[in-house]
Amino acid sequence: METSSVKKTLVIGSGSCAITAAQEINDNNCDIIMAVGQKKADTSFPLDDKKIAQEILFDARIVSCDGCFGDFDVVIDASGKRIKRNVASITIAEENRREPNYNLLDLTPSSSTISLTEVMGNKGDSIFFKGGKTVFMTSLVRESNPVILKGVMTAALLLASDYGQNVYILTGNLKVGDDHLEALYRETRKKGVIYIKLANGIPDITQDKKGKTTLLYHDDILHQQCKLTPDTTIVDETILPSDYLDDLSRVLRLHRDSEGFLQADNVHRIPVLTNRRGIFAAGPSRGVFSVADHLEDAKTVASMAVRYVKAGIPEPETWAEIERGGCVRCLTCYRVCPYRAVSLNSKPFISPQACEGCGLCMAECPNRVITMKGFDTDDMLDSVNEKPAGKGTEDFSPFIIAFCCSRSAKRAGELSKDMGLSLPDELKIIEVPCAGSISFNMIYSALKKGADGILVLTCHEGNCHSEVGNTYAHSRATIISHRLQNMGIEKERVTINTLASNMGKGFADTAEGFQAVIKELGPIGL
Amino acid sequence: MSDKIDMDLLDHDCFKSWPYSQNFCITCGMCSSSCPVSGVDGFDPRKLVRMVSLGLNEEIVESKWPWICTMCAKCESVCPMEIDIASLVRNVRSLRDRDEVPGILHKGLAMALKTGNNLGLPKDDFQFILEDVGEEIAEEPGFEEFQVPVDKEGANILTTIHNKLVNTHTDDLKHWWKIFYAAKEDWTVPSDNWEGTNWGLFTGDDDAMKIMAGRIIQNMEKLKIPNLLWPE
Repeated sequence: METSSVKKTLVIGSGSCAITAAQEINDNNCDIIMAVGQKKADTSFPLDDKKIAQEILFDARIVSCDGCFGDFDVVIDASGKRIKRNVASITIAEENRREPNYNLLDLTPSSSTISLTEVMGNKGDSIFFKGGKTVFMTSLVRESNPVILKGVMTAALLLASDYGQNVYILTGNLKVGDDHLEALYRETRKKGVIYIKLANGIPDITQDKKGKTTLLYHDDILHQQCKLTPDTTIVDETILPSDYLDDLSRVLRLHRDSEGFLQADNVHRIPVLTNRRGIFAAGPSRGVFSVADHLEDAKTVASMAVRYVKAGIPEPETWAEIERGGCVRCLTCYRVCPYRAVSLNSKPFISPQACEGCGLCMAECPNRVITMKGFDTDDMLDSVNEKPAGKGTEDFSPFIIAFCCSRSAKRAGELSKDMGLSLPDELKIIEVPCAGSISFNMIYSALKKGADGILVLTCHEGNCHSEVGNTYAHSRATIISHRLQNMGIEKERVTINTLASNMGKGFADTAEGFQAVIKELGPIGL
Repeated sequence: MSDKIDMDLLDHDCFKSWPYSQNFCITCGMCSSSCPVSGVDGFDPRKLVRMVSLGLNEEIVESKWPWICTMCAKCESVCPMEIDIASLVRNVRSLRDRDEVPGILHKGLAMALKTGNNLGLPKDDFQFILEDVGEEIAEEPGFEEFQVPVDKEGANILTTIHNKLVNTHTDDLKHWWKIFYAAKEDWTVPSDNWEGTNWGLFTGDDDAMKIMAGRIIQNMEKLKIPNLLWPE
């Protein structure tokens, strides 16, 4: 294993998650650069603390990033100055922004209707008077989370105890799954805070000219309409990615989840991975909010970053290669690669360290000039015996070729054999690294081998390690089905299905079911 | 309840001093699902707890629900927030004016406080019934020597009597008595203040409850009896 000559690590962010990660990396004698979004003067950041980082850049924005895992060339704009750095890995732990949920409830902010953050800020002074009635509205239209609830309960407790107010919390749900939240809940109850659960929808709200609300709601426990006119209404907030996070996803070409955080809703990325090797998303940047989770992420990221500096980048086992003579620079591979392993030098080049061997580029390259060590389509299909000629229809045993994704269907197939389940007699399993590597050509070749039916078996939607491999496979299989139909061949002969690695029975059912369909249709007769 | 509840008019603190933890209720509904009379007249334990928490004092006093409760306390045993629901129900019962207490409970209790038993059964009649039943037992083979000990000083066990056992169900007296006899137990019943039921307990009337219980203890002290068998 080659020890990387690159010794530095980059951490982007300034909150507790970023600082903890930096400290941990530093404690392990690894050099670290921090890129902090705020200006020096605007932050309470411990400026000269060498315990955190060797170099701290303020007012910093990542402008560009070339290279790959173990060898990133990053350009950072720090207060207008362009700085180049070379780092082994990048951790993003950028803080989020909070957006008050006025819109969700059709409320207009006013001196009587404010947001949670404002309670503790300047505007909070207006409600810090003795007595009076305050209503918090949280988790009504959209599910909230423990961090927001903690803020709500802390504020409610303050108002109920120190200011003797009548406090109500209108909520769809109580998410107490974080440190000490149930204890805090009990505290608020002891002080007389009243919780009203609205399982369905929001109350009927009217605001007068001064912005004070009148609430009409159905109490699900009393089965009665209730009316409440608070002096102050406080809305909660949704935690969203900052604008800088949007920028980062574009510059670093990172996948995002449905809310815009830098980690796709994909089980393979948990806990701190992104679609790019060597780039980690931690804590707030990946959409987890509680302090405990932030610290956990920080430690995970730190241990990975330290390992890659000290022990080096793991030797890649297999990777795709572009045959330079045949490449026409269409940039299809660059655009398709989910892991962003293709960099554009004088000609496109695939970094072995960044390549995950999924084979999507191979299948998509229009000139078919990408090869992968250990994965040769022709070899694979050569090993398939052609169907012996002259098989009649009375004893028809369909010849089925199943292309199986290595992470799901292949394993399910093995499991089904271990379980001793019945499988079609003439079933040939061909393993592919990712279903996205199954090209049109492969399916045509399988038909040329005499297959009566072809199964394309992929991971479930949302579970593809390559994020889009199964999507590509599905669209290709569908296209081929239609083409076959145009040629007068039944479209069912190419069928696509999803499986998980633990579905031994599912595999057997799929294969046997498919065999039954093909038996009905008869031999393909090509 | 009226068509709409105006929260602004309620005093949520009116039952704050009650020690039953009712404010911790998370409205999970375990009480309602475990309650054997849940649904009778629309009885909903969870709703009752909420009415107390919110301070709907008029409604809970007028409601039939606290009187439908059997005080079995299944709700208490399943409540994840450890709310003493059955005790809370009893406390709600105590809020009613005594002459609004349902059915015969109030009249029976008043009679018991005045005469020592719910029926107002005079002492002579009581003793006559006891002897009568005792004679019936003595007619059975093996029980020829049977006698009912009344006011026996220094006995080992004092036992109370449910008023129905000297009213409509006198035969049921025999079960206990035959066991005492066969076990050669040294037992007795008092001729005064023998009532086993305690409707002060039922109606949430702590003072009445103490008086009734106190009379039984007085009997024990007067007759110098160390043990009490109180089947109620």
